Amino acid sequence: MIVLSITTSAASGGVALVQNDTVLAEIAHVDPRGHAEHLFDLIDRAFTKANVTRGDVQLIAVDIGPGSFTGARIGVAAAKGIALGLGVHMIGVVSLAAMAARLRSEFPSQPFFAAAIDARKNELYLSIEDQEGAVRTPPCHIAYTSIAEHITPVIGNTSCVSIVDTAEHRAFAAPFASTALVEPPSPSWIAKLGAAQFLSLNNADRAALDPGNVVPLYVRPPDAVPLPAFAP
Amino acid sequence: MRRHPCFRALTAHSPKRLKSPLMLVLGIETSCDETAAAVVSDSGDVYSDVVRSQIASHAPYGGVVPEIASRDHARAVVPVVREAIAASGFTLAQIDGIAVTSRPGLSGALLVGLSAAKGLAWATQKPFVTVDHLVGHLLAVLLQRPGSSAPRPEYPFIALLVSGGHTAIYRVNGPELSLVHEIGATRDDAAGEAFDKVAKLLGLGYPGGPQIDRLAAIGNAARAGVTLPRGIADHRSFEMSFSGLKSAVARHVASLPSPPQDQALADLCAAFQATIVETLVSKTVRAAAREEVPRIVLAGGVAANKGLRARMAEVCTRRELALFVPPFSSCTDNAAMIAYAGALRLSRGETDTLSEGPATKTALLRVTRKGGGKR
Ligand SMILES: Nc1ncnc2c1ncn2[C@@H]1O[C@H](COP(=O)(O)OP(=O)(O)OP(=O)(O)O)[C@@H](O)[C@H]1O
Ligand SMILES: [Mg+2]
Repeated sequence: MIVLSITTSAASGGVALVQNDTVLAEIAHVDPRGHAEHLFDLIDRAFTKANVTRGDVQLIAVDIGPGSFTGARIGVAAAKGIALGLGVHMIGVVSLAAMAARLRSEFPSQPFFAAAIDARKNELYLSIEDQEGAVRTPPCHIAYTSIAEHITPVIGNTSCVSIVDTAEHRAFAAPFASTALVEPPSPSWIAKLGAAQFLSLNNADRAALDPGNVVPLYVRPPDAVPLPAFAP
Repeated sequence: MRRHPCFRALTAHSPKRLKSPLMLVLGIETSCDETAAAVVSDSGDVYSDVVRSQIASHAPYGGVVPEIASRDHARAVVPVVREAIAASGFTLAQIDGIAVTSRPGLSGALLVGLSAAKGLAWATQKPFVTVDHLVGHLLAVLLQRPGSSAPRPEYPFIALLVSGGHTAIYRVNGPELSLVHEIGATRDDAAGEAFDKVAKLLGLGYPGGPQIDRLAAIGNAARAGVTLPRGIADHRSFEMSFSGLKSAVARHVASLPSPPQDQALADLCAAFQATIVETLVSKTVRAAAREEVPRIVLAGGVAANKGLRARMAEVCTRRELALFVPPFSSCTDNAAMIAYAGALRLSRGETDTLSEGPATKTALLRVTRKGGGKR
């Protein structure tokens, strides 16, 4: 199965073409304000490099965040258009889950995996998974400074490995992590996790993987205050 | 399934339909608070026109919240596009090109439609064009909706574009950006914005234009007991200003012992609306005289205003000017106008690359400077 993946929810983004866990092409770029302008050029380059054609793609896997609201929407909307145009399934992959999946493959003996991404306003989006890939802390937004309160109760007195998206965050994560990597979600891990999730579904559930059903995972509500008459 | 009568005629008489000169375009519009998609031909025939309004999502906030608009677009874009294709009677494979609004508008909102349109164009290898939303509004009068045989204006025409975000008078020499010339525009608030702000301060809810229109119809401006300023009443200027008018209404309301109710409220709405309408009508009609163009076109959401339509019709009849007023569905935001403007671009051989980004401002050349001060 050939999967096309797209990630635009972080400052760096990119695309990958992956076939049965083999990465045929992976192209990343760094330009938080240029995802919309660069995305289709990256896609074209990936297809050339992988030497496959549009019609070969069977699944679109897209990073749904959490991350930048606008960034995630660029990738999700583009993926929707592609899936609709090609008539293929589309699956949304949580950015933090793709980061944790990568850690699980690189550090299989570790008990816990924490992934964190910048959420602006001095906050992080955080999630923690265990060795089996079960989610121990679902994606949430927390203050940078409260990372200890969120990690220690989950991992107890063991340690974890973590992956964060900036060097600044590594400083916060380091005290709890035996290893802390600085990496945003990678396009090939979005594809691999998307494919794994797709293959684990039965046919009925696969049928629900429709471009109309995938929406970004925002975690945080919009910043807006209702008029007094509408306040709860 | 809604099919345009032409569709059947066409399939019946033209065995090589795919090679027919007709260009069919799917248009997508997400610039503000409606998610819309439509299938339209380069002759202006509307095969489908789907608009999903977000008014209910924004009403609790008294105006459009950009992040909420973007979230709603991300949810709605696929169902709306599918519905537009299904309702057109064509399949995606039969569509010749993809057009999308790229400006002006909220950038996060524009990005949803723009990205989805690029994805569709890339996947289907169909030509892709971007459209300036204001050009779409200006050409909406040329759409041929099923069952309507309203006459279409010839070029050039004078267009009064009045919407929630824009208010300007244009000379439209043809369907291209370079053929549209601004004669004058508002220096501050758009007319629709003035309607909405005044409605808000009168406690009428959002969007306020239709409420004021309704009340103005049963009110009497002369009885309102207030003189409201006509911004830039100077006969020689085609520029407009509506923020002073809004402030004058606010001051008047503040000077009353209690907020106006019932008939007094209707009378105040009538006075406010009459003032705006007088500015819009007199400047547009003078623009037609100066340009020696005897055709006037209304465009934009405020063109739905009954007071504006009635007064403009009256003055045009007196001055022997032909007035073209599109149906309501062509005045407010829709994707049919975007698909049509895009179809005309494609039929001229123009396309855009998939690296096109959104912009918050129109590409139409502005001659009116924003803000106060001497000119
Ligand atoms: N009957 C009416 N009388 C006056 N104003 C009206 C009426 N109906 C709608 N409006 C106003 O029209 C505006 C919406 O029009 P439209 O949808 O064309 O604008 P927009 O898309 O928000 O702005 P733009 O096209 O400039 O980006 C609102 O301000 C609304 O109050
Ligand atoms: Mg509009």
